[in-house]
Amino acid sequence: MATPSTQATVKLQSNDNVVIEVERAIAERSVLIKNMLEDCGEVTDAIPISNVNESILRKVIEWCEHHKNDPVAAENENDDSRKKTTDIDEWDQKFMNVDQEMLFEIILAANFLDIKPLLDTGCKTVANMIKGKSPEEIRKLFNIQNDFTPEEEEQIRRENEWAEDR
Amino acid sequence: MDRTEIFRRPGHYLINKKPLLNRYKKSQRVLLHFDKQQSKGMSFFPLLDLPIELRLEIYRHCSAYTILQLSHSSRQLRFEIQSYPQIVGQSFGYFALWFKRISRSLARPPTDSEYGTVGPWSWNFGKVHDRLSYDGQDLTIRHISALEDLLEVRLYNKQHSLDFMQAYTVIRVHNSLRRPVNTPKIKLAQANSDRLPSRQRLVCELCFVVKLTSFFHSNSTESLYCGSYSAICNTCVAILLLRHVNWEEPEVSWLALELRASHKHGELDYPGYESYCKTGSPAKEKGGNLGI
Repeated sequence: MATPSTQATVKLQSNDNVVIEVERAIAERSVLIKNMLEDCGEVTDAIPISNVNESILRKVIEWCEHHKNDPVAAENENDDSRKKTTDIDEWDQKFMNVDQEMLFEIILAANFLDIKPLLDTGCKTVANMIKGKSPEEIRKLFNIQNDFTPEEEEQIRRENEWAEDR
Repeated sequence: MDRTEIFRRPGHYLINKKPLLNRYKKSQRVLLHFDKQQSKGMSFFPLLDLPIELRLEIYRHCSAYTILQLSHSSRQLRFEIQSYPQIVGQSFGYFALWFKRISRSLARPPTDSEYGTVGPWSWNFGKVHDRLSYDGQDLTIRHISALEDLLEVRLYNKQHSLDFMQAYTVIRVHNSLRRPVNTPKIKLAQANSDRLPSRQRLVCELCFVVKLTSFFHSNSTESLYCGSYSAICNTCVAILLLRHVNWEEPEVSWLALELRASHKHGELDYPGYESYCKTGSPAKEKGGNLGI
């Protein structure tokens, strides 16, 4: 394993070849980059982030800058509690107040870069979008076609009855 | 040309109005990509374009009632939800969540007469095993014991009691029990008892618990509003009034009976009470005053 580096900044290269220089501590919010830096030690070249374009990468860096002092969750933490709530921090709510496509890309980028808190925030945002919506509204929200047969719809209707209970 | 060859031609899904039999709607997803390239600003979130593990991650953040709505929206989502029963089992408001509160050694199987009556609305709640625990089969409305917030409550009441919410004008009544003077607003809906079957459930807008309609029937206001139902269960009404009303007064003494029921409804320190009095809407606290 390489010796620990004292490098202050690292360069990240988006898939449209834009190089962005960020503080190492900020970049290390990404477990992917953190592991890479630990393995490689001093990195002078830009690290290619092949799945993320410039605008999304800047957005992700913005999130990492704001959350750079947050405690890092343990790797083997049982994350049941993490998943049970859809409450989102006010700053994160504003951060996630973007168009649907960017939200989609942020979730994918957070998954690729292995930034669990950002991935959680993205997933919570989508979960909040679904909350309180009927199946028809959900179909509109996600552009899903109703592909149930009449028999299946009848079964669904029965599932929503209280007829068997006293 | 053979008909099968036409179907196999690349891009056939763009030409044929009726897609091939494909329960997972791959053709739809390809069209989605096509649209995405055409216009950058999407008006919908491409959930089905996410990898399955990310979709499951989203489902894990949903309450049981939201998961139920998702499972009713398309075959693919229904199949995914059924394939991962642990997501349903761990979701907020899923029936088994209540059951975790007591030791299994203390619980016993229900008798025939108790079957289906061990919900939070039941005397036997928490004392007997319930047969409704999720077994990987279809999630139904009977598995939902509590909702997460007011959005879900209103959807539930709208979906399961159309007559209650739509056919009658909902009126806001100050001091529906006439006294005390400073009671919060209580939303009432007028309905005949036969329009709301007794087995039907509603959800209280304050505690977010699924309960029998009898818990919403305002007996004391019957003389004023025939057959009126409150959007808040009688138990919550009683708790709200406790701070203002002398229980000796015959006008409100009937409420004491209602305190017997439902989970954790002996609590007087409902944390959202103050904000409810000020704003007329429940505090944004998950699960109402259930503390789960």
